[in-house]
Amino acid sequence: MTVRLTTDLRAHLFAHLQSTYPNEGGGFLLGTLAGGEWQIVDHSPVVNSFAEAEQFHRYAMTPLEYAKHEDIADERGLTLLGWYHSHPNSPAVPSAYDLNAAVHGTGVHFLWLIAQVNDGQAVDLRAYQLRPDKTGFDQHPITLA
Amino acid sequence: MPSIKIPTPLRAYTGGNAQVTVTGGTIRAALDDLTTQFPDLKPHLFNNSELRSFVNIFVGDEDIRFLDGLDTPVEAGDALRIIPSIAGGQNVPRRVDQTGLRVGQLATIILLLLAFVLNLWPVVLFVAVAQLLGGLDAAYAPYKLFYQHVVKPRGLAKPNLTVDNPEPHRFAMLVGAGFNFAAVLAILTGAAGLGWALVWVVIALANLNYWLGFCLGCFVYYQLNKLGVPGFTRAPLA
Amino acid sequence: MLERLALALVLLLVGLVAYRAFTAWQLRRASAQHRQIADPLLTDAPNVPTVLYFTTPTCAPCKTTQTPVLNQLKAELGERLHVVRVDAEADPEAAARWGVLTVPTVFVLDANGKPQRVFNGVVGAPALRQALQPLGNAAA
Repeated sequence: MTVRLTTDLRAHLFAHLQSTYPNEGGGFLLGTLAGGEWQIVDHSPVVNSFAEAEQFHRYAMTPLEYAKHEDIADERGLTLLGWYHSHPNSPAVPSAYDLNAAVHGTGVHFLWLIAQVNDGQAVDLRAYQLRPDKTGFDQHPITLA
Repeated sequence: MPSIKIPTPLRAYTGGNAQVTVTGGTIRAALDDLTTQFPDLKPHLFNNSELRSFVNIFVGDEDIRFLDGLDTPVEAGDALRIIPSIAGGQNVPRRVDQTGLRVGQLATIILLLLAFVLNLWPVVLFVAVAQLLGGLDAAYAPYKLFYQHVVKPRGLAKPNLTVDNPEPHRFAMLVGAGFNFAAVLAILTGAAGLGWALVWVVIALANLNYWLGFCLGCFVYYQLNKLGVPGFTRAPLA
Repeated sequence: MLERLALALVLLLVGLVAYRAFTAWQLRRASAQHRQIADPLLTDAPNVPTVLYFTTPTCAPCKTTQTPVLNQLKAELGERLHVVRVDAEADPEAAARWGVLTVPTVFVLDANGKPQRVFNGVVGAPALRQALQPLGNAAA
């Protein structure tokens, strides 16, 4: 399964996550899922609801933010495909915390995009989906349009 | 009848339905009806009969956690909603304040030298106790208190947090404490020569640590860990 | 009390002398080996002063202090300084050859690869610059 997004959109994601550095930033990914391809057409930054002191290594959204953005996606006829967040100064690889959140929260049908932001510069973006057996994530290739 | 909005990640289990009409006078009853209609949904909502912790149920704009939980009553026209928690983060490795350790080493060196020159075994005893409490990571360990309430607030030294295991350093402190307690015992039982020699061993090791950054106790700890000795559970970090 | 003070000073002095003797021995041994065979760590070294830096993956002061210091010096001096970094755990033979007992250990070699100074434990930028200065080529 491929993940498609425009270089422009990736630049927007990077810009957002660089702006929240050194804290973790995140937001939703909107688009369509068709023919085994995740086509991301838009993103919406969402404020980190964790306590400020924890935000360098933790990110969360309030449920009401989720509701708001899902409604917007539904209105626009788009699917809430998943979400993106940053790992400041650490690899764009899901952590144990990420895995736990996916297993107990968002489940298999949700795309995870993680960006590594080193010293204020976004350097890597990777796409993951929780495996059906929930033991870990599968990485999906990203195609830039 | 009340309806439940299904979040996007779970719509695969409701045949793609974003909105499902349910019956029930409480949240629990409504969810039971939902999972009866769509059994595949159940394991994603419930852990046995408890709601999974990353699953949020809202009635309108209110989280049921702030109402009556699963017993929250449901009215006919209520808009219920299942919302998954979105969270992420990194594994943040444990950090040790290297400056704090150095302050302790310097204190040990100065106090033990003073003790030797002034022939004061109680000072050796104090250092032994300080190292024991530090090694056990007690809240009221003297060096820790000194660092937190005197050194840091006055900017006498800058904290230096590094990714490190605290256990080997604590082990080193306990070794120091052991030598110092033995030294006091020796001094008090008439073997002053031996006692002060043991004190000088600690002074030497503290100097080695402070000036060259070599922690013999840490080294021993990691060797014991490599040998699989029980209790020495932390391996060196990559 | 005075005797004890004197004894303390003597013991501290002994410690200092012992350390100096150890580093002198380290350098002598490294130099002697350098005269006999070119150390494999230095085969690619250009004819500029070299810093030979022993570290290990678990060495915290290496990561937080020593490596940044060397990076800074390298950035300042560019081609006029050659830095060789060795993982003492991955290459214990090299560590044994150079008499490395602790990490970080930093050897400063002249443009011919001859060991001139050794620092056991973290060494700061000023001390390193001072050690490099008389070696020409690397002076600012």
